[in-house]
Amino acid sequence: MPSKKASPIKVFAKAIGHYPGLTLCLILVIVLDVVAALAPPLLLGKIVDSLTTTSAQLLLYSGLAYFASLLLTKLLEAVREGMITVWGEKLTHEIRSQMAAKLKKLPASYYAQEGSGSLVSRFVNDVDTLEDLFSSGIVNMIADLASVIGIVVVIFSKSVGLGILLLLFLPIVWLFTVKIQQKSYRAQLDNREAIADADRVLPETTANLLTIHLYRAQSFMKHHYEKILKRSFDAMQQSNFCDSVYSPVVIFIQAVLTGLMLLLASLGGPWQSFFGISAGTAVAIIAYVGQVFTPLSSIGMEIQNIQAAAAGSQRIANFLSAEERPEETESLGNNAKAERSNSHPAIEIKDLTFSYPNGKKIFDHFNLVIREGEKVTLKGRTGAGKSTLFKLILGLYAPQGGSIKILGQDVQTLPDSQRRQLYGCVEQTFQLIDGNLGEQISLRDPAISDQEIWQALETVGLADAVKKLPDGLNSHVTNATFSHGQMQLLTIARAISAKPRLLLFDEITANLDRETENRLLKALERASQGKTLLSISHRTELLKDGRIIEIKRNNHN
Amino acid sequence: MEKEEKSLRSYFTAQWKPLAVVTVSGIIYNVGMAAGPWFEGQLAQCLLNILEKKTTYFTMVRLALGYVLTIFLVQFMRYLKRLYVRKFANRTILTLRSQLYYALLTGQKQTDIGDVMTKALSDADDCAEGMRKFTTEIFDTGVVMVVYLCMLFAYDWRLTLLVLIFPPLAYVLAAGLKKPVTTSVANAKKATGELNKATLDRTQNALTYRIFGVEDSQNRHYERYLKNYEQKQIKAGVLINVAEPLYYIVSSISFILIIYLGGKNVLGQGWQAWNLAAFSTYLACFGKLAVKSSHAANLFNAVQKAEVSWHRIKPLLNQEAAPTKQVAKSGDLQIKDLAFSWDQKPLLQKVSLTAKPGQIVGITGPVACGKSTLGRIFLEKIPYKGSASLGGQEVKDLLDKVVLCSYQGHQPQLFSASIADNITLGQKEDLTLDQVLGDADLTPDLKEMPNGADTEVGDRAQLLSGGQAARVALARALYFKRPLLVLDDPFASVDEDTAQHILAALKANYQDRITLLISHRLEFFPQLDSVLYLDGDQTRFGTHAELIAESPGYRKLFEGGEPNAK
Repeated sequence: MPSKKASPIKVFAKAIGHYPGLTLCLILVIVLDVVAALAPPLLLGKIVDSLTTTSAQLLLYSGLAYFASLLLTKLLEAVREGMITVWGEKLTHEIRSQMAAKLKKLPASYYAQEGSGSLVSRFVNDVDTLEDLFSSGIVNMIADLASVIGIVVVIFSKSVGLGILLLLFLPIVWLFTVKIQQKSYRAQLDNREAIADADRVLPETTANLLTIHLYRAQSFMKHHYEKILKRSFDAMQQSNFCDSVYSPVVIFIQAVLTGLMLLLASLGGPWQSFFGISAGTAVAIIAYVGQVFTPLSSIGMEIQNIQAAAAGSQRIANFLSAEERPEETESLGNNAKAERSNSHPAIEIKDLTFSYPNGKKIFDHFNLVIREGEKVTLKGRTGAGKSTLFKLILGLYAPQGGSIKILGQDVQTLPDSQRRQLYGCVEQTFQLIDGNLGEQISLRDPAISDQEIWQALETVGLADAVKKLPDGLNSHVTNATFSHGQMQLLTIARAISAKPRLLLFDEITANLDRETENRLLKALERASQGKTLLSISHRTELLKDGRIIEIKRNNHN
Repeated sequence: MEKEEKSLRSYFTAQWKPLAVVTVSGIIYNVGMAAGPWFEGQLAQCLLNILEKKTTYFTMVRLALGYVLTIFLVQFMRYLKRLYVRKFANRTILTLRSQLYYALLTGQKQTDIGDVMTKALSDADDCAEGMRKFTTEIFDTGVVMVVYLCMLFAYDWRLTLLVLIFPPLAYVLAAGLKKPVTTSVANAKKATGELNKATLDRTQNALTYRIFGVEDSQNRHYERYLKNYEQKQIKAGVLINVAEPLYYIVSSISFILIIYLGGKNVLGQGWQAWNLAAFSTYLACFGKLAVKSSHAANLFNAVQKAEVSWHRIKPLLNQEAAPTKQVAKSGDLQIKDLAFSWDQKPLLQKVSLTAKPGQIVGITGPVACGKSTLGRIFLEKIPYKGSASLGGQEVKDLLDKVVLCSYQGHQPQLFSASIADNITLGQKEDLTLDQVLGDADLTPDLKEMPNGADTEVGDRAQLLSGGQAARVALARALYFKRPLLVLDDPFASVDEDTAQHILAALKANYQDRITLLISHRLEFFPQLDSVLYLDGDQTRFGTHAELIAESPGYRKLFEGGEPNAK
């Protein structure tokens, strides 16, 4: 949930602020285009007026002039459309960049709650709706509204009574529009939610195909997916109704208004001065009524886009204003750097209190000190809090009380630039990223050289295997490139590539056969030489010289 | 599933009912479009007549009422047409998406998740949108253009012939722009796929990037994809958006002719004798025609866009679906002299074993001995030599027709659904859910969860611990009764008490199947019916006691050492 009021307007304003020149140019082109669009009808009126008194020669010039005015209008329109596209793409780019920057500031708990499917949906689907709006709806709407005001003024100048009648009808159309909008908005929200859920099913299915085939769950999964799609379908039907009914109703109201105006105009007698018009003016007013409703109904046509974008932008605004984790403090970090050689313990946990949002208490005034160079193993039943402690040490979760310091520095405010030199974490499973082999290890960190990558590979004993690959470090890596054990070794290489002083190993022996486990332990021994080592294990015999700490529920030693 | 090749046309014929409504209402609406201007002219004429006292107020009342009713009918038809066109498009999206998903379920494994996503989401939408536009415009442009053309020819057929030279030129221009538009749209689509892949990478690995402090580098990397996406989208967008005004300009060259020649008609020097009203109507009619024809040219591009999308998803939709297999019959497992080489190096050699339903066979061995591979020969076709048979039938041949085993592997493979759904997968089996939850020692964990077995596991089982996820996968493997139960390292992330509990449950409650327990934790092996020790040509099969006596490698491994250590 957003911590402060999330306003989509602020998001737009910030994005537009990045392109003041382009935005000004766009406004200028729109103004020119609106003004130029007034010219052809004006010119045509003059031509019609003079038609009975003109010559063939003059007619030819009139025709050319009329075409020239059309040409100008349409060329300006083409420029406008092109600029709107450029402007819209730049804005959506800017909003996506802001969202990417936000990813860095989100607390780790956000990822667990939201899931990557809905995050992806925010980046892809929601921004797409904005893109659609920028590239068509919003700009044209503004121009349309300007012409509505002009027409109202013209009708008032012809007949005050008919002008008042028109003003009575405009709110009816407006109220109807708002009602339809609200209905459509709700349907759009439901649809977006359903689409986000559906997005999540696809990558999950790809990853779990084996299970689906083995347990013959094809029809279960199809049903599961279709259930979600059906939700989206029903929501779409709602908004389709709104979309379909709006414009016909508006045109019907327009016909009622036109009929009423002509009935009043032909009353005669005492009403003549109030409603009376000539036949010529009647033709003009019929045309004007059509024109005044056309912009309104074209706004109606855009309802779906506008509503989708409103729903999407609200979610983006909520995302951008979601609660952030404490900021890293670069200056404090520098001080600590100087102090680090002094006798700070590698890990110092004081009075740690932590419970999950669901109330499950894991740590209650827990204390732990690990000196530099120590090898420590955490032991305990599944769910006792070993992994939670790791996440706390990594700074992914913030404790409710107490503090965790690494080499004298609070992990909550540890700057990114120092993180990798301080500690490396071997994750439970290898997180394959979308990149080549070198990038799997460096994680695209420019500070890590190829030489350091090779060194890390050498340490874990993978260098020979990598040298055999045709493209070496540039090889594209998929799940099939390496065996399970080799993947685990890559995880170690990733952790040690920046030569950290502290190593964290999560469930180091899980999922491995004994020899791979031994290879891993040897790699770990080499990797942790002269370093502090903290690991999670279910068995105690693995690290012979290390200290073993038992983690129990409600730890308070 | 139906065998016939899926074509875009089939999606139209599949929904002939809503399309029939669209056709009827579309024709009535578009023919009725002419009624509006006609009534409006009559209304103005009537007002003039009243002002000149030629007719009474009652005529106006009748006319106005007729006008409002006619518009109501026409607009009601329009509403029907719009609603059913959208229904059709919506239904098409649903069908396309669920067919794409089915293709994903039954087809070959797709490695490119980002691309599958773009295909399924974006292409299906574009396709349906193109079909919707096509259906709409056939009536709104096609029928209306015919109506207008008839009117124009009625006023002055020679002028109309001349004037109609230019709108087709707009189509020629549209055809010329076809290639660059198609190319740029395809490029934009590609950039979208790449961006989606990068988005997936950035969000799914966000926590890995965080703990290594490299989020800034990732954002810079992501920015490159955003830049590329922006450029490709601008190119495609500008080409598409600029096209329509250009078409209009080309078709409106005709206005020069209309004003010149039509004006001469009014002056009495032309082919026909016109009054001012005829001149205005002709001009207005042609104006609408020009706008319509520029839409039609644009429609052309929308259809192309749909075609690009269609060609991308067509191979996916048309690939052959693998039928859902039956479950194999129970029987004895007999492996005889099985061997398998991987990358020309022998991995499995001289593997022999026999097992009857109710027995648990422990499988172990030194590193890279092929334990997991042996487990996988019951899952997928692996070209082994020798023989492995179940109930007398060769496993390799059986795999084409039936499912042999349930399996717990290294990855829990859970879905974002409830724990119960993850275990039963919507299917009814002989065992109850509670039974397998208890056997996998999940009952104590469930007591702490808010909704018990109905608790959602979250995206990628994030709401469970690693050990809990593994045990849910184990419970699922137990739930489905198969002749073989293959457990690859089930005790990897559980403590000793839990492991003992699970083993006791396996022995007590799963007498109807053969259990292959692949593990490197040998403390439980003395309790098993037999043991297969895999170690190249030192491979042995027997009871635990036999192997301890006969196989120095197994003995060493059991005592906690390395069999190959000298």
